Amino acid sequence: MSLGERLVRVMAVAMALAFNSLGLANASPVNHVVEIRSFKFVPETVTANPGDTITWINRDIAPHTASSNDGNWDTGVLVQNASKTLVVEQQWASDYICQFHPAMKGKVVLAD
Amino acid sequence: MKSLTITSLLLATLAMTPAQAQSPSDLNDLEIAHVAYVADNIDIRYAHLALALSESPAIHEFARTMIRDHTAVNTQALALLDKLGASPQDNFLSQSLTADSEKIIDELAQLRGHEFDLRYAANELAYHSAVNNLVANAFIPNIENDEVRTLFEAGLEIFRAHEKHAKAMVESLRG
Repeated sequence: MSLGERLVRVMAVAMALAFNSLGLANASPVNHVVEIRSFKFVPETVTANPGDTITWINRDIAPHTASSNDGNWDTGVLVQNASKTLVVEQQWASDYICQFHPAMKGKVVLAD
Repeated sequence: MKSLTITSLLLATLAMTPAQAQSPSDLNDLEIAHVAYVADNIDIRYAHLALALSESPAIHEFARTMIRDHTAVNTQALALLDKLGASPQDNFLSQSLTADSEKIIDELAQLRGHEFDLRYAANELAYHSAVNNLVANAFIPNIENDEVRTLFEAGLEIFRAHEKHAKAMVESLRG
């Protein structure tokens, strides 16, 4: 291997390491879990990337939903211990509520 | 007709002093369970009346939530009693709540439109407030079985949320 070829290889490895450390490599989707308990979404705010998933699990006796205010997405009815996983999409950033108990509020924020 | 509230009726009931003292705090676990079951069913009845007589989408949504939630609590309560091999026991307070609710239903049935909506919402607020007070102060501290107490604590959370929802509805209807 010539000096030039060796230099190119070293630079490629260095760049790959640099991109990895900056988190710019292809990251695997993350599953975020939101527990519904005591009439609250826990955590109240989820910061996610498009392609991530969010799983809502209802721990309350009362049925709940997680329904975006802009109508883009909805878990449907979740009875006790039921869960629903949705894939986060680009247009997802929004506040959401439980349709049955509108004082329950949550938020999905897209990561930069 | 003088407007009745479940609060005033409940307070009148608790103030009664028959020959044998009857206090909500003296009820045993199975009698308490019976009161809770009856109280849930009363609110379910009010909700069905609201669905039949109100034309307000907000009232309908609230009523459907009452049916959904109170039914869920009753289902859990009956499952727990079944697990414990016990049956709820009828008592003076269940009978009084039932009798009082008939008066409220008679009153509500005479009303229509905004007058009905406001009266229904106001009664829901008063009813949940009175029952929550009973559960928090007379029942939970005196329940002996841990599982029954845990269920009542979970139920109280639900009914407090209902009370807040009813309060918001009343404020909205009063403009």
